[in-house]
Amino acid sequence: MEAIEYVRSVPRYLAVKALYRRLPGIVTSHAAVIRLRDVPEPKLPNDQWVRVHTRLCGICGSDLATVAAKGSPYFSPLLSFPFVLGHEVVGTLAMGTDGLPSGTRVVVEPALHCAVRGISLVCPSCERGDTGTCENITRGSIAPGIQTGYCRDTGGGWSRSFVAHPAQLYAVPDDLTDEEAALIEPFACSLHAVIRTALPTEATILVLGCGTIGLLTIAAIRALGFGNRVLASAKYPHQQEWARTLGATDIVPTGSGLYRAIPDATGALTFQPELGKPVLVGGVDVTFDCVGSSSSIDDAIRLTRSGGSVTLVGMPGIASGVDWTNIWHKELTVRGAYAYGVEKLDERSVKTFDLAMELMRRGAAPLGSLVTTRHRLADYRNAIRGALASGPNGSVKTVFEFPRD
Amino acid sequence: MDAYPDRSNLVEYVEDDRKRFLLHYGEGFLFERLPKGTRVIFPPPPFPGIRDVAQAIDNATEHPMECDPLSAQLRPGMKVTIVFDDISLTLPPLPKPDVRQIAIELLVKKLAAVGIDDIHLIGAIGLHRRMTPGELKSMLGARVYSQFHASGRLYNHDSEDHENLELLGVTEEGEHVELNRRAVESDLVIYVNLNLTSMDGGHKSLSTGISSYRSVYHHHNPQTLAHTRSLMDPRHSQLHSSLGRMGRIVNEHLNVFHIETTFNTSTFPTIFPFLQKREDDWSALDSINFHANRISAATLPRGLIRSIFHSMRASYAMTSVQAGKTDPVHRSTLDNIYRQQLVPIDGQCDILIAGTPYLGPYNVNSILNPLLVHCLMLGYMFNMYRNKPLVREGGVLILAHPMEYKFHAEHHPSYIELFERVLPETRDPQTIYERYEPELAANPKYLEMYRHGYAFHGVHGAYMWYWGAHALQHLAKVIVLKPQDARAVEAARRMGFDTAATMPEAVEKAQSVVGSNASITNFHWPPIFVCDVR
Ligand SMILES: [Zn+2]
Ligand SMILES: [Zn+2]
Repeated sequence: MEAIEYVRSVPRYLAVKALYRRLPGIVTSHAAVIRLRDVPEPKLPNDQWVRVHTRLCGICGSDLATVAAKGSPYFSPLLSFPFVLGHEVVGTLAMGTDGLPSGTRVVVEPALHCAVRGISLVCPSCERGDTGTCENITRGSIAPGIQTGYCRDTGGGWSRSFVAHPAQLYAVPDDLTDEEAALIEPFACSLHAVIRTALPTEATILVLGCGTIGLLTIAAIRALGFGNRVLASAKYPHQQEWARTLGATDIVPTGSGLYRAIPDATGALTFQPELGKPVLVGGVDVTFDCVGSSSSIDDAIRLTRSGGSVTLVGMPGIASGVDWTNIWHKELTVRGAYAYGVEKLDERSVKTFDLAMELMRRGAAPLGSLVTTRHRLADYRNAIRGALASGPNGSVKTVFEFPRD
Repeated sequence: MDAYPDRSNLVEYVEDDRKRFLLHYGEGFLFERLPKGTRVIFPPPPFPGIRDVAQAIDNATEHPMECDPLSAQLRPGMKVTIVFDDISLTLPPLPKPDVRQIAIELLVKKLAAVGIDDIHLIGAIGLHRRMTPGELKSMLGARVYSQFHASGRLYNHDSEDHENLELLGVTEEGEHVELNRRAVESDLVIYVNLNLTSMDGGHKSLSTGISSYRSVYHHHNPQTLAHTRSLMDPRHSQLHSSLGRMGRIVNEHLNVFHIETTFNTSTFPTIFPFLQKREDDWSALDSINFHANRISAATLPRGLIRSIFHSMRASYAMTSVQAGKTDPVHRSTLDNIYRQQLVPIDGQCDILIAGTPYLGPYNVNSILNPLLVHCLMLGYMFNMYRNKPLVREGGVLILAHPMEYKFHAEHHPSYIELFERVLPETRDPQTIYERYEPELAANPKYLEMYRHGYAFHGVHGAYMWYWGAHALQHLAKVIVLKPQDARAVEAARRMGFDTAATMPEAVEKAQSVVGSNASITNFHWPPIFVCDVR
């Protein structure tokens, strides 16, 4: 079976890291950290597990950071190598077990938490329902790994088949398309980020970056019923159009243009320090950073007013050139939002995946069309290079497709 | 009255013993094979709901039964008290906005329009725990809450606040009728009722909801409950005849305008469609969702699953609303409930098998402790009949439940004493009533926790025991299927129940009592429904 595998190799990692900016093609070259390989299908870890045949699997920002060696080395000891990438996956159950009939369309909640690992004395995170931040990700019946797509034993969605624990499976209702189903995982991330962030009624919200996760964050704000003013920072025309469709009230530029647009929109005052980017007094109340680069994190904390909050949704790395004085002087709350689990919403507790499906089914947003590009696995070079350039080339979400005939 | 719909298709006989059936099992589910020949009785499908609830309520109040339209009864400067059902109804909670919110917003608007501003809203908790401010706000909506709560005009009734209770009289049978003074002194009392079962509503509403322990004492006791055949059939219930006598005295002193609402059997939210269908009608999707949820329930931590379940809202739709004088209103309500819930059944069974859901009236946002399991199954589920119980006298009940040996110390403190101290000494309801109830009722700690904390009244745990009095007498044996651990087995034994680890073992144990040719019935609930057993 063909699969895109990540190989642990320090020289390759360093080469990609050093050369990516100048030679973007390196990520899919012979020197890359990934390769398309014929691998055996992953074994079922025990008789509870089932095999899933991939229908579609998205390419996520975190996958791209991994492929381009842009991410932090933080995760490397929490993974097991080699692994097959891919965690935004909709598939078909290849086998039935204990009442789960084969042939059913499912999405996979990728977190490999206590229940999936067969650990009955669950960790405090799982006890709270924050299965995404499980503390037992290196223990139990399978090899270390935070998620399906980062674990040696499970395989991942960038191949025709992988294995999953029933606690990871959600049946996809017939009224959701495969494209929508492939977006349930990233949409759940966005919902989680919005729910975990306090959003007062009058707050002005800034969404930095309108790639998939930025657009889904706008969709999540609206789907959850928030009527707030939402400023969307989008660079490319198709992103701006999407941001508006999904409910942004204002489109603002990216980069240095933000330092004119945000003061205009919020009445903040700008001052030019001796060196570096402008300093704002005032600004937006809440910022979602959906990029995760050093400059977007720096922009986020500069553009948020005193006492406001910044939520990091996009995967950050080791940020350099971030002026922490903003956080300190303006008493900002900066929080991370990773994955999903069980959300407390009004007085209701609901699994994020169930919520994502419920909101999608209610037609909160026409999310399926965000999947703009489909590639076969064999064409992975184009797929990955295209996804890395999704802004300039007019695409949003790229997926691998696995037609069965 | 229209004829009731044909319900003969709701009874199925198991032909293939490999087929499996869903049994509620606390905050989880079992999927069990039933012996060949088992009769499975399914709940009736839901009637369509009323689309415009506010308009229907308005219409009912302006075309009431046996009294003047509400607006014609209103005069500026009147003193009005609106009493509403507490959080024990409905199960699960109604989708938002709650019908109580819709009704009360409408009433408040009507009252304000004629210049009535002396309005109190009282939660009819009876001897239940008080509702928290958050629960009141969620039930009645932010508008009503902010208008009335801060100014002290929205509150829970207090059955132990003797300053604010008034004795209206004593019935011919010697029953004290004592009610909330504010209601007694009002020119008009409006009761907003949610009628999920035929047991509730009518005269029960005021006479238990805003009365005193002294009043409730007369009908919540072992003798009355043992002569209640059944709770769901007010015509043959001593509990309800007592309430009827009290109601006549209430009507002499109070001008009561009663609003009753009924609901369909659409009990579960749309994200769990499988809970609403028969196993044969499950799509592949329902089936996988069921199993995925079953696995979640088995693998996620118990506390977490509990919070997911308890925050689940029903998809109930209101099927009727009637307003006016209590008696005609309640007659119409009962007819509407029976029309939705009644399933005619031929003959009793020897062995009754039933699952136990996670939620009863007394564990909203809490734990279904062993005493509540006893009450839910032997009290309520057993009583979901008319004419004859579904299981014959001397029969066996097999109930599926993990029976976790756990109590909510804040909500059910007196239950713990009953379970730990009283039950090891006696299980006889009459002995408990005579010897232990007075202590439990007078215990100052329980009184304090009921009045100022969020505890059920000190006697409520004993009521849970009495509530099963009829079933206890009637059944030869109760078997708990799949108690979760050794402590659960201990809890079951404490209540005099046997246990079994598997369905075949449970059936075998039951057959050793009633014989190997015993007839078996599975009462496939919830949704709540009532068997009319001939
Ligand atoms: Zn991702
Ligand atoms: Zn964990």
